[in-house]
Amino acid sequence: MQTRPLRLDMLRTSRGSSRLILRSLLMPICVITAVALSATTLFGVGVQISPTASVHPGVDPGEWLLGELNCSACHSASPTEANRLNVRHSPVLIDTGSRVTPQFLRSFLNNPQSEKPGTLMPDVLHGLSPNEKSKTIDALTHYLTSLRSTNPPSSFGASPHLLQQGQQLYHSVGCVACHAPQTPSETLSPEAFTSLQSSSIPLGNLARKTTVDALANFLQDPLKARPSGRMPSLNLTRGESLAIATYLLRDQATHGPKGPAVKLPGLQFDYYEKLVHSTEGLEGAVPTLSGSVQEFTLSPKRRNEGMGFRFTGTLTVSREGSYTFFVSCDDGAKLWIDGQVIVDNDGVHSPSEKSGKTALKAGDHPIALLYFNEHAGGELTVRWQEEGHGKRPIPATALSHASQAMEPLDPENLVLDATKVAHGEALFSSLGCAACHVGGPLNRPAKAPALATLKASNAGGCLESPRSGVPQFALSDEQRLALVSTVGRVAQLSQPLDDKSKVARTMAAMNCTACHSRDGMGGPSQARDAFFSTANHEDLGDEGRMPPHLSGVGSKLRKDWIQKVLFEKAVVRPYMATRMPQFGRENLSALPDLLSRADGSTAASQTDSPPSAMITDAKFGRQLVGTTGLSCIACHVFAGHKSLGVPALDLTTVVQRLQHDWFAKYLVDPASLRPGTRMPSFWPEGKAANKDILNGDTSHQIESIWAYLSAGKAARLPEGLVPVGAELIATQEAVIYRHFIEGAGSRSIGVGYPEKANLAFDANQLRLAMVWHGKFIDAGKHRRDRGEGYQGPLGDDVLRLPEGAPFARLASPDAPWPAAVGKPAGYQMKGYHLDALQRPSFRYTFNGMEVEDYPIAFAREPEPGLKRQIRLHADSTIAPLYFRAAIGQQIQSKADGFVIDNRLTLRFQLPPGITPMVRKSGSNSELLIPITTTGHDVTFTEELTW
Amino acid sequence: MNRFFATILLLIAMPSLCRAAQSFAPQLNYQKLATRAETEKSALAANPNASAEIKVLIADRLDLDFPKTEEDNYYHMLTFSLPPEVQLEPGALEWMPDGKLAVSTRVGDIWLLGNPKEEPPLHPRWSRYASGLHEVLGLAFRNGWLYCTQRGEVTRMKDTNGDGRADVFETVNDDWNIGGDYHEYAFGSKFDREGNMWVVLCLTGSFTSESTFRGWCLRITPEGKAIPTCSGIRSPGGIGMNASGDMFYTDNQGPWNGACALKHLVPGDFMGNPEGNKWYNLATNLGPRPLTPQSGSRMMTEAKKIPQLRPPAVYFPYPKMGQSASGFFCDLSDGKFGPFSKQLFVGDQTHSTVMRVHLEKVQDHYQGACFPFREGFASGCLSLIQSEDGSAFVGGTDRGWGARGGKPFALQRLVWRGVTPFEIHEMHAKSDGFELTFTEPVNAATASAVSSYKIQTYTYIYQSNYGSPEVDKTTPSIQSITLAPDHKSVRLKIDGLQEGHVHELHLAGVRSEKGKPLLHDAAYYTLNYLAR
Repeated sequence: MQTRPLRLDMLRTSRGSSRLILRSLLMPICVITAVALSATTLFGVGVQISPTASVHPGVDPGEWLLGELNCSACHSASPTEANRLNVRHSPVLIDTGSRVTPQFLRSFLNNPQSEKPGTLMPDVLHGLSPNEKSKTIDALTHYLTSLRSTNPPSSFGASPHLLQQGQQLYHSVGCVACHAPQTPSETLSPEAFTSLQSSSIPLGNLARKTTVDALANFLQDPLKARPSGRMPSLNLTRGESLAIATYLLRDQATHGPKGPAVKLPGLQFDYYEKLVHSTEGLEGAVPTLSGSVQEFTLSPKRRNEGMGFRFTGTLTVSREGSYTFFVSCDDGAKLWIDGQVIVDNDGVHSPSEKSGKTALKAGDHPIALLYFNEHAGGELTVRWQEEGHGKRPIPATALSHASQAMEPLDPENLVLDATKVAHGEALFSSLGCAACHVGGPLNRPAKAPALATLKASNAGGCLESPRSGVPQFALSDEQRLALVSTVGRVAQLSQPLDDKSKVARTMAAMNCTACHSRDGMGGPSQARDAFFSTANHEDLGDEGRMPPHLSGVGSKLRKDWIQKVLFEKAVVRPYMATRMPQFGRENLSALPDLLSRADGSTAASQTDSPPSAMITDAKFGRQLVGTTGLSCIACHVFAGHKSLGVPALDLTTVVQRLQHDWFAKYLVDPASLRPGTRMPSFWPEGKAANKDILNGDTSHQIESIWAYLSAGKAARLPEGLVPVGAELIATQEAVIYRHFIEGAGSRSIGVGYPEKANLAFDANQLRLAMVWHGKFIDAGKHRRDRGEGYQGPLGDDVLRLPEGAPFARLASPDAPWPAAVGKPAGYQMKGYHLDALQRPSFRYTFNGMEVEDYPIAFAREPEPGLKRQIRLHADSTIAPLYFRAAIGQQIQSKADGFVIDNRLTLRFQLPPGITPMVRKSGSNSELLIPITTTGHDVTFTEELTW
Repeated sequence: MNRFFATILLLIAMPSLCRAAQSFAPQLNYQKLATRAETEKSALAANPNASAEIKVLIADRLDLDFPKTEEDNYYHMLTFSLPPEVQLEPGALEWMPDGKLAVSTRVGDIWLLGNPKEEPPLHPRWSRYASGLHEVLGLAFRNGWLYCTQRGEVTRMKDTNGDGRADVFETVNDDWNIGGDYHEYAFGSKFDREGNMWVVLCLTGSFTSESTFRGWCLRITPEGKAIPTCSGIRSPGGIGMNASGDMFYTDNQGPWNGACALKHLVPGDFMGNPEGNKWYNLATNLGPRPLTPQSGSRMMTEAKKIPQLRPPAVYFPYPKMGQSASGFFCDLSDGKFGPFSKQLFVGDQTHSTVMRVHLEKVQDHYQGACFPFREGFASGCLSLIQSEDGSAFVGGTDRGWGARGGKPFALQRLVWRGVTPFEIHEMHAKSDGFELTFTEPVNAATASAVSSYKIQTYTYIYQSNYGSPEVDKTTPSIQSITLAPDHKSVRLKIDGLQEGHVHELHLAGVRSEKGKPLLHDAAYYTLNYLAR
């Protein structure tokens, strides 16, 4: 955990004004806050910076404001001064017409603070008469709207799924590190939510300002329009940008003008992370993720087990006809067309295909599919077949989902007037807009004095009752005082800053401290903490979700790695949902050097490779990293190979990233350099825990690891990383394996027999779940790492037997087989006894009746079989009772037994008077053994060959 | 020279060691020289073509004569060789009536060690008693049956045909569910006074409760009934009793656990993690479902609001003491394991250590202090048991979670060498400070000097986020120090005791009467309740 500064928020004491009680200097101040402001009170604004701030050494609040407000655009600055101020340039307006609506421009020019509370844009038209102002605004609106590229914008529909995806992205990738969260959440109290609204960088009324297309373009490359990097790039894909844009402009979908209906290609999907046993379990579940896909695919899934999907959309059929739909899946799925169930392949099962036929008219038909996967497996294929044609996947062109085009609120249909455009262009220059904004001819107002000659008190100037033509900034008292104070010491601006101060200034300007702490300052505030989440690797704890602290980072990371992170999108923490943004090379070009110098990094520790003498020690390093040494790979990924436990940082990036001295220090005492880390020390107090390798010499061991890791991804993999199998083989006796066996439930008991017939008994449902030939099982998966997941049989001819209770008391021979299984159905596992050859006889009870199921394998050509002796005992008469021996699409009665689906043959030895019966059950058949003999004990055998 | 002489005397004073030395004396030529290296060289030269056993014997004698660490002077560590090609990751340990040690493993075997007391262990006799079980993390013997806690059930087994292998396996109880998640571990205790076995069930993925009773402690009665007993469990590492027979378990740092801790299980209590409380409707024997704690609060603040919430008895400050608290035993040997009678010895998997805990009851709640005890185990300590001769057996594994020890798995034995280390013996909360007792008389001047002590306090954020930093730190001041007439205890009068805080005390300056510093000079007292 990182230490956090006091979280300093404003306390609203009365409408239109606020009182500063505490503040964090490290919060963004590129904004003059966001208190609702009436047009008449320009100076009643609360701020997040104070002239008395001494919280962050090296950051003078007034200087900071001079830079953020771009004062030197009018008040010319010397190169030294400009460098010191770290100027934030104003948005580039070259393409404004494509990005911004005329209705926004008018309103914004009329009163910047009322359209976008907190904006840095000053009011430059405050001195004009109403008539003059209105004309000026009109001309500027025409001019700015005329600045646009020729490409017509695309229309985007209000896809609820994009909206949801956008919401999720906005609140996880890092947007809310600077901007306010958009919806209150469980983890955020209403007070904290409200407070964040007024202390974050404002977004203004985006729904009125722009379109999905334009906002998505901006999000993908924000530096193009805002070159100073205060709005960095989060490396979003086009799809992600569209999703966030859709979300931020969601008011357009609900309150906007009715745009034309838009048909979006593909299907909407909802993805669930929930362990269910049939598609019904997904009803009412809250999706983890939503979006759209081109076709039926499980590709958006984030895990394979305990998950499900809902696909919805429209199927467009070009020809009327009879269509058969095929759903092949593991586990279950259900397909609806026109609200009717067409294919029901529900339930937990291995991959199997089911189909359904329906007549469809040409045109659109609502289509929906629910799918889930409980454990292991996990597949879905949906195909269709038009009568007389081949079976094929449903093409993406036949699938769509409807939406409505999103258009900006309060639309104004502006017809450009060439005269007004020309007038606007002239005004853009004469009013001084061009001093800040690229977008017209540059014209620095000649009357603005140079920075070095500014006076603290100058009536009519920017800081004191600005006269007409002088920009009016929405400064709070504190901000104004800060500026006044700095201007009073204006000579100091020509002094260069020291390195530490420069770093602090840069980190404050770019708001690095919203995510990273440095020297005890900054880091996520309490209210924003919950928005730093992990990308599905919760088990890394806070290290899996929190950006690393940057104290001493210049002596931790190599300079070339810092450059890679800042300028080349290098990332090593794929488990973090929050992304490291790109601020633009120009804006941070000095930072890597500054950090190195500020944190006292030596040139020596930046060297590329270990001394050559050390290279021969790499083998010891390899030993230490592997499972026969310190087992670093128990937690760390290695060259992209999964670790044996949590997915901690890839070790092969270590030497590329870290400075040697930091690494050596870190290994000895990780918590001292990274408080709260789960990384233990293997050299506590400098003494090696492993005394065997290199005689327990601490520094020699650490050097050898460094030498080993210096080969990067080319390093020979450490011992124990690549899984080895552990086949269980029954030789003289049976072998038992109780574990998660795929196809036999969470309480499976696998038995391998020397005859090479094997079975798995499901102790949840008390049923014989699976039989197979040949090799028994590979226990390797469960014996390495944390033993995650289900393991299937190793052998051949795997036959999964139907789920369900083995016995039932039916009211009549036609009564359906009950769906209940296990305990709710009256079953209780009682254990097993082993015979002399270690073969188990399973024991369980069914509503007081004792059952013993004793399978024995026997040799047979061409393949071995199994013979179960089933003994029942009760204190009262057992009959009437039914044993369900099989379910199948086809059950054939042969001379000496029954053949199920041409695969499994069952032969019985039954007490006199008992005759097996085959009956229909839906589309299947069931083979039942009615226990009709009266008595307290019944024994029969069932022989399985397959 | 004095030290060597003392060591020789010590050898004579230890009957068991002498026995071992006698039985191998004819084969082993060993003479103690000035240094370990010289002695080793001469011993190897004097035993040409030494067998593996002789080499073990030499190594063991060298360890006794030339302790590698200060701790080795007091507790001797013996390491068992394991059956080859066997993944013997001890999940639980239990004594069989014939003196064999039953060792269950994470891969589902139960092994018997026929001669656990051999010193040093040269020819361990291993036999497999059962196999194919599902990750056994609890063993307890009663009335001819060996009970084991598998992931999915409590099972009892016996060998009815006398071939040395169990052949009857009976399901005693399986009233909880498992969903196929590897983290849904089940740890089982020994039998309590009433003959119940207590089973603690880890959450699903250690974050949520997806299957019935994940995050609960169930008591399994002698008749095989399950009684829902406590909720609020996150990720247990071990379960056991103190000398009074009260049940405790260790829970690990994570959501709602600021640090690893030892927690007292009292029927009806809520142990802190609210995820499993969803199963309260199945616990009809218990009262109303506890309120859900406020994330970001403090444990004692919430404990005052939520009557069922029981604060941890002892925190193991992370990572100062350890990072994964695991199994433990209570020293009931009455002095055969050193001076810490009735204290608890708690393993730490990550650090490969065993820590020591002294508990007391304050305002009717268990609380107390933990101290470092012994480091340097070969693997990640998970299962611990004491033998009737006082020695401790420690099983370790590092699979899935790395451990300092570095060996993938190990079984070791810790034998007290009969020499009392200079340690803090007990730490008691007083209304105005603490009382510390020592295992040896202290030097009056150093023990009475305020400068010999350093104290700070802190607590943890009680939150749904993972773990917590140390927060609300304070530095109380020691007002006065009173030394007891026998010089074996001191009373620290402290201004600024903090209710609900860990009080971390370092006694770097304190010396024994013989001038020795403490073997471990740190103590961490969890002061949930102020003494009255």
